[in-house]
Amino acid sequence: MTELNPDGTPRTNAQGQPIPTYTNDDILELARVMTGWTYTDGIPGQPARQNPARYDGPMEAVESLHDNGAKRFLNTDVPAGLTATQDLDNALGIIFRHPNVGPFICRQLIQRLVGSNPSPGYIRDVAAVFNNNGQNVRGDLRAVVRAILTHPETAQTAVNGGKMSEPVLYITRQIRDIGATVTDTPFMSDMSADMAQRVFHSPSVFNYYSPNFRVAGTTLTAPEFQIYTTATATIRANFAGRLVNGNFGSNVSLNLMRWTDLATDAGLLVNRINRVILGGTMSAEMRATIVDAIQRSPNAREKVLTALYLTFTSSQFQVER
Amino acid sequence: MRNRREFVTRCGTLAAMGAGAQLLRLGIIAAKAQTAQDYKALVCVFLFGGNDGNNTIVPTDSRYAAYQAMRPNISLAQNVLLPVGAQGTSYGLHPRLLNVQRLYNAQRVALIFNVGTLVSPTTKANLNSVTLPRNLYSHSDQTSQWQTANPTISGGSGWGGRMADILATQSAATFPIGVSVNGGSALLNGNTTRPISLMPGSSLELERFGDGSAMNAREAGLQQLLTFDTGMQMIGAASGVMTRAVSAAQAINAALAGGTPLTTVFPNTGLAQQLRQVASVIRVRAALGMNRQIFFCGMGGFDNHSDLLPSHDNLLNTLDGALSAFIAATDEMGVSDAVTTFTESEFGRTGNPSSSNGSDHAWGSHTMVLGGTGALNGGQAFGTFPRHELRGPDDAGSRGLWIPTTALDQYGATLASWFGLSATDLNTVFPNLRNFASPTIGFMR
Repeated sequence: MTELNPDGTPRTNAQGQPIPTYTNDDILELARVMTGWTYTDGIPGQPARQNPARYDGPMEAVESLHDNGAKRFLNTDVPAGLTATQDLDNALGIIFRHPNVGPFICRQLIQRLVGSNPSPGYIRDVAAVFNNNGQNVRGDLRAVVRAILTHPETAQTAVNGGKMSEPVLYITRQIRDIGATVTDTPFMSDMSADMAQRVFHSPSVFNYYSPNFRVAGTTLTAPEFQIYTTATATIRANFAGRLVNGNFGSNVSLNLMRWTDLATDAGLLVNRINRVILGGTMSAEMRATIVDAIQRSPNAREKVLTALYLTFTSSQFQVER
Repeated sequence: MRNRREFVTRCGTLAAMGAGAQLLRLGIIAAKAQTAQDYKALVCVFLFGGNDGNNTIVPTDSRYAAYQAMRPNISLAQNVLLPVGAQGTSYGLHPRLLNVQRLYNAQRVALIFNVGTLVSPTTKANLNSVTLPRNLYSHSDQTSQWQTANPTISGGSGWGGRMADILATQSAATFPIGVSVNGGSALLNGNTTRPISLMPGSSLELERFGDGSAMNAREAGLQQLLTFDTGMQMIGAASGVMTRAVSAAQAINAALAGGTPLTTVFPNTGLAQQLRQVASVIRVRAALGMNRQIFFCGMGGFDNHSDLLPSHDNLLNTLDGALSAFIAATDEMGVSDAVTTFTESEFGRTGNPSSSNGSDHAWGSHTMVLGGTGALNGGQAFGTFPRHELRGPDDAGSRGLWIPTTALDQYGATLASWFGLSATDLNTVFPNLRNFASPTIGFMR
């Protein structure tokens, strides 16, 4: 929403205030660019004036309803006389070339792929690759993702490192980690919806959470915390319990043998969990707590349920780093 | 899965009995079971997307013609509007607001005209010289600003949360003052206090499974893991949320297990079920030891850039049914005068229609406040109705973007003042309130 420096920090004017990237006039002018488009009626090239919503094909332009006058937005003049398609292509190009796009999109990609609080240097390095992949190509996303995943900051060792698993990942990580398979994907989608992330149905165009969401009373940016509340935290913990306990029946194919084989030795069981599930990040005190609880559980199955439940409900698991 | 949902919905109180029995043994309930006589609750109903206020309240006197001319293809016919009198003349409510009309006529509803985000008094004449709220007409910014009452910065604490910060220092209650039944809410985030979030049809209870002694070990282990400081802020924040969930669950599940459940029937809509949960928490206010509570509810779907009329019809029907049931529940509990419900929405919508029979993002809009006749000056309208004239004296642009004549700050401060905040506190909670001549606008007694 405001102009960005190449490292993602806001540009400011002489009074130290952020500078809006666009005004309502830009929105109105861009709306003129978008005029004339309607849903497909299934017959390519023969658009009617206004078709009902239909999502199984590209929208089609009705030139007689396109405002082909001259326009101006983002400080760029758009000539008169462009067709609806030409006008749209041209407008997308104007937006794509705006200097905000690199730092804006790269910060969000880092937030999704690595951690919620990338340093300005991290954003700057990745945005530079977005702006130019080394061969004078702008917007090479393969190069951008490579730059994100090979950056030294992926280590996420800063105190504000890591990111909270969004519900879909919270679910899929557990299922993969214990070697289960899902036999009913709509069912899993329901589980995610209970955790405030209905797959493909975000409540608005602003996704399930804002990339700028902060944990109240802190300076910690943590987008996924917008839907990590006392209610959803409880639902997530109960999901973990039901999953490992086999409550999901035929919806999830689950075999705990690879874990129960180790259950006679609490230390070995926890070591494997640390290696396979927590990437070796388990602290000594966390290990001691889980080992103790395992030892207080009566049989191999209960010991495994205890170990997996405590791991999956722990903040140390829920936060990816 | 459906079984679980039905189970917790029908048996929320049963599910709570485990924790309840535990707390009784500890004597916690007895300590909290003092009757809170000085009780007040505020309930925010946020209409996400930007409610079309122009079709929610319509002038039906000689100004109807200007309304109709402003939006011929999305106007409501004069003869379907529900008549209400206000400010010495006639208005009509949207035809789906039948219960709101009934409650208005019973002095249980007040209408507030043309409320919006402002930094200081703003008119067409000074529009280009005063500081304006950041990013007017933007959903994300205006949704935030209606909750933070801080329109010149991005994010920050909410005005309900700042009220809770002040009230928490005057109360011995340990249960949070802010309760959201609509997910995370900026409104209730304080600088020093945090709300809890409840979800309709779901309990905060951690479910037990498997062997009893193993489950005891799991519960103890889970709570112990929450106390470890890993040095990572993200992990600490996550543990903080879960710690508050565990703590609130013990209190609320024990409380909900007691007393007589409500008999008021709520419609099966998202908003009504949220309000039903609010009512259930209000029912056990004494067991929780609360004398002030602020609730956040919401419903979406108001961003109707196309086909406004059928969508708005459904939305206001849902709103009307939910509000009506909630008012009935407050009556059933004998707290009509103690519970005040108010609407918010990030902006109003253009007077001028969009090209596809909808309306677009605008600025000031009308709100509703509902409550008891002992607390609310109901059956009246407050504020100044905008002149429905494109490019006219109240239009910030060319399409009917009404410049608010009442600031959100004044709207909120009127509620906060009723809640018991001092004039000094009002200026803390609403940092721009001092820019306005009248801090409160009289709709509360």
